[in-house]
Amino acid sequence: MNLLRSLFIAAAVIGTSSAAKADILIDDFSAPNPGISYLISNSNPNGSVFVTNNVQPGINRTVTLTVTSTVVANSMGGDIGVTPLGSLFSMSLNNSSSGNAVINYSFSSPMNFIPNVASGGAIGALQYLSTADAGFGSNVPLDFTITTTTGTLSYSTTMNLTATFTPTNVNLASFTGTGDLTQVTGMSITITGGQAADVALDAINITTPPGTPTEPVPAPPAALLALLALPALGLRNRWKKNQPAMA
Amino acid sequence: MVLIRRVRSFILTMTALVVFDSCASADFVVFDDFSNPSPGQFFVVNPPSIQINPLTMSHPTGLGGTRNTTIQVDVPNPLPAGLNAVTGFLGGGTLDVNSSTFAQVRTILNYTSLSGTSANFFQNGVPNYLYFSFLSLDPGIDLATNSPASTMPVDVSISTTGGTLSGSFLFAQSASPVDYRIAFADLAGVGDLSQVLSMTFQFNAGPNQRQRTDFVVDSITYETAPVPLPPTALLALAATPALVWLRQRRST
Repeated sequence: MNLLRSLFIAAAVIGTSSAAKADILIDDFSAPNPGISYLISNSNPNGSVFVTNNVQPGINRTVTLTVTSTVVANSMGGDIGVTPLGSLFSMSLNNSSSGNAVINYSFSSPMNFIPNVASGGAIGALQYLSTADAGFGSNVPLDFTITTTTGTLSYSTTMNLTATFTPTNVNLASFTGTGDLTQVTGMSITITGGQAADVALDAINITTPPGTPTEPVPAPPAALLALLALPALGLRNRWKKNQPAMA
Repeated sequence: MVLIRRVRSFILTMTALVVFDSCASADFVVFDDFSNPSPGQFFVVNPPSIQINPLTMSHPTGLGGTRNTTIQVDVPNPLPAGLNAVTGFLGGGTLDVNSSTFAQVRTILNYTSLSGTSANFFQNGVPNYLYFSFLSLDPGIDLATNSPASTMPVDVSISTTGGTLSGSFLFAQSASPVDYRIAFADLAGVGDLSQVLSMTFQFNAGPNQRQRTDFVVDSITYETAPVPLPPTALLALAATPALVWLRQRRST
């Protein structure tokens, strides 16, 4: 009986420690599969919209691609989803074309982007992979907007001008505006490409740092302590059983 | 009689001036203005469903030869199915190549079956320069530095009956129309430009190949200068009016 109680305590301790919430994956572009190869030309519609529901459970994605200059035969092309080169979003503008991509995410129910803050964890970060060639521009602007039940938060940056995907972390505390990060209803990403820009984006998620080391019961040591207590409890049980005989 | 002499004198003087003046002017021969095919055609290298890699298209040029345009995706290699590696437009006045985000693409322009002016660069004078006119050029990403590239490699090879002339060059990025000039004298090797058999230009090939290269080229031209007369001949021509005047004076 005492052994069972000890195991329960140990399980409870482990359960308490695992309450730290995992990172929130917004989109890894694993959907659709196979992916979509798109092209905006003078024979395809400008202002192309691609909707993919449940890119992650409860997250729907809408990608809107627009050529803002005169549309020519090969103004804008790219891929969304699973491609032979991996899962990604890409956009390639030709030399005479400018355009933008708006990737909008809507959540079926509000999400908490800072689930561990209440238990002492730090505010996390928006994390993503990007790669870009600015073409004839000096950079490729990248704008994030987080929509919450009480307002919107936004952050503007530029994409990484590299040949391969490069990770970037944007602390959620760096977002400006008014909003409640415990009640996030959606998020949008706007990529503004100038002439000849070529870009790609992948692995968008929200990090949720666990509680700080000053938390009362850090998970692994507590579990170990509980297990270490088992022999002592057994000894105590045996001692109690022996008490009446001695009396 | 005097009138005839004066007219003759005037004609001689004018001829001398025209000859002298023409020695200083250059002549441009448009080798290819990409007017063929007309209307132009869209292309996308996306095997196997759309177009294979490499993609080769053959068309006549304005000067009578044949242009073989090859769009070749070098990376990824082999090019997986279902990927728009490169899109573009050929003809109607331009060649527009737009590489996708992860592609390394070379464009090969090969001119064959040359005849007349396109085979004899000396037909209009001494060939000095080769011009590549671009509407714009974005070299893309330099893989060696993992950062934006400032130049795109261009390889020139001219095959003649006497040998081959060749060279490698770097064209700088330009968002606006620009002419890149290559002196025939800067090409290595031995060749006879009066008997050109074929020409091959490679954009974005070799060890300096870039990623995501985009460009629009609208003509290839060579410049010639008329064969210069020797200085003594010029002096002699310049003296012609004086000789005429002297003769007139004696006869009167």
